[in-house]
Amino acid sequence: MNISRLFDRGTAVCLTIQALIVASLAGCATSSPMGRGDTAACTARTTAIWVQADTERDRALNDAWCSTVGEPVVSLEPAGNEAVWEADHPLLVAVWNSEVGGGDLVVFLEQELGVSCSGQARHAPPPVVLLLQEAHRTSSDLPDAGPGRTVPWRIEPSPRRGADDHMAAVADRCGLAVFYAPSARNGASSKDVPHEDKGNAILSTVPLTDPIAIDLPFEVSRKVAVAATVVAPSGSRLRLVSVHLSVGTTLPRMLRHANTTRRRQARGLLQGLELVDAVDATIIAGDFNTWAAGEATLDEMRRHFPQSPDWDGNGTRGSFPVDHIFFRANPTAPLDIVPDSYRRVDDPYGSDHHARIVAIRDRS
Amino acid sequence: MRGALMLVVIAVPLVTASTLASQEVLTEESRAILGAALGSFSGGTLGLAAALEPCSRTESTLLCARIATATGTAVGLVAGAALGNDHGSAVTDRARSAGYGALAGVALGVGLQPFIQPYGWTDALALAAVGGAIGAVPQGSAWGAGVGGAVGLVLWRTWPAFDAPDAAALAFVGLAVGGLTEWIARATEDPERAMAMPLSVALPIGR
Repeated sequence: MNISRLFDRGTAVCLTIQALIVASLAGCATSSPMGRGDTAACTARTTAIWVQADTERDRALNDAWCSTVGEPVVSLEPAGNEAVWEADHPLLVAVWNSEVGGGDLVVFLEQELGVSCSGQARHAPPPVVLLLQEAHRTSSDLPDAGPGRTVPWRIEPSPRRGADDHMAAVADRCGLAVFYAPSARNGASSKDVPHEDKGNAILSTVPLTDPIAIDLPFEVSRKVAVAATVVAPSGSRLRLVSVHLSVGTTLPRMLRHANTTRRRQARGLLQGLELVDAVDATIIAGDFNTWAAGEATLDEMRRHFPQSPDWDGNGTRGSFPVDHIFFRANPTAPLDIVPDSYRRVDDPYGSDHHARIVAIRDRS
Repeated sequence: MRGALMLVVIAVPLVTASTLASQEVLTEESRAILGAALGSFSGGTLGLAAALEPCSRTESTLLCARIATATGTAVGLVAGAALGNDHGSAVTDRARSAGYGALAGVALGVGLQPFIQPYGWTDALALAAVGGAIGAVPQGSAWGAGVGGAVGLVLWRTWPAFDAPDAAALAFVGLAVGGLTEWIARATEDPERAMAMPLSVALPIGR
């Protein structure tokens, strides 16, 4: 055989294959366009501003998953004693994945954040905002949803808190403002288990404004980030965002997108926030499901949030560095992080995640 | 039932293809092309698998993954073509071995179905593809993954800054390096083959 002839023909065939492999990667962008979700199926259910990943695939899947969950909970004024964020008392911001009822939310609020849930508090509560992931709601009002691709399997931690300890009930009992936008069902409808949905939530002892729900780019399940704003003593507006990114995706998507699942969602979140009114400072906190502290998703977040606290080397789910808090403020805003206030809460309170806490002060 | 159907639908073309490849109906030229195609597919897939975790820690994740994929593809292409050209029966052995790997991949995929959600045909096909890529060069892949995984395990247990994902990444890098090494080794194992590929380098010294 003439080897030059072989490579003339063989190489042509194989270079085509190679080109197809490389092109299949080249065609997969690591970001997804975002748009105001004025036509989203979920928009009509809430007064919150809705932002969504704006590809046809993202819209179709997010809408299909949305049809299985209940309405968002938007109760922006604390029902109990309202906290006052004063210049000499920093705002405590906590982030916690409460594992769909595995974590003891009431005890966490009382012991870590000083919120009284007994109804006998004489003093105003401290200014506190809790950014929750895997918050859940138990309600017979949720739509029926049989097993299928839009209904994830049920998460049933053991031991689990009672049905009265779901997020909305706790907010009511502790007199907190609440904004909750469910992402998905917690299991299919069944006679044997209560109807539940789950997602991200914000609980607060200070009034919230401007609720925003952001349907992130769809990977393997629907993820809705929630955002709301609080007003600092100086009048500066601080936006707080609770987010939960996907831990992985399907094998074909992982191969085609070169393992950029979380980066695509993080970019969607950042782009989504650019579509709404600007504020003076922003905190994004949540379960980023990152496998390594050096993951490019975290580097990108730190570039956008240069005043973020450094990672302290402590894992929050086993040794995995999954839960993070990012912060940025305009140069004119008198808001910053209280030095050394960023910490991991060592007691997981029954959840499979440790919480993180940071204090924000107003220097005015 | 669905899993069994999935196995049958994916297995039939794989078995047919590997059977055809092992017959004497293939010409010398087509065996070389088969070797190049199989080598580029196997090398590219192994390169991509190795790149997934390390590249996710770089700013240019996609570029990094593309480079790894293209490198694996190029190495596999040349090695596979050389193997098919000079040692025809060896490349049909590789094709048959890749078929077994694909079957093992899809069997694993079907077995995982009760534990992973959501799960579908595309996942099983992707596992079949990865299984085929590994199956084409099973010894090198196994050695590489074993050595990489073992080193990763030791580092994970002894070096605090080295975590479980790092160990997994090292196993995948070992898988790819081992697999590509086997492609090269098989392509160059016949001493006469070096003469069949007259590659020379001239240094322009003294000009």
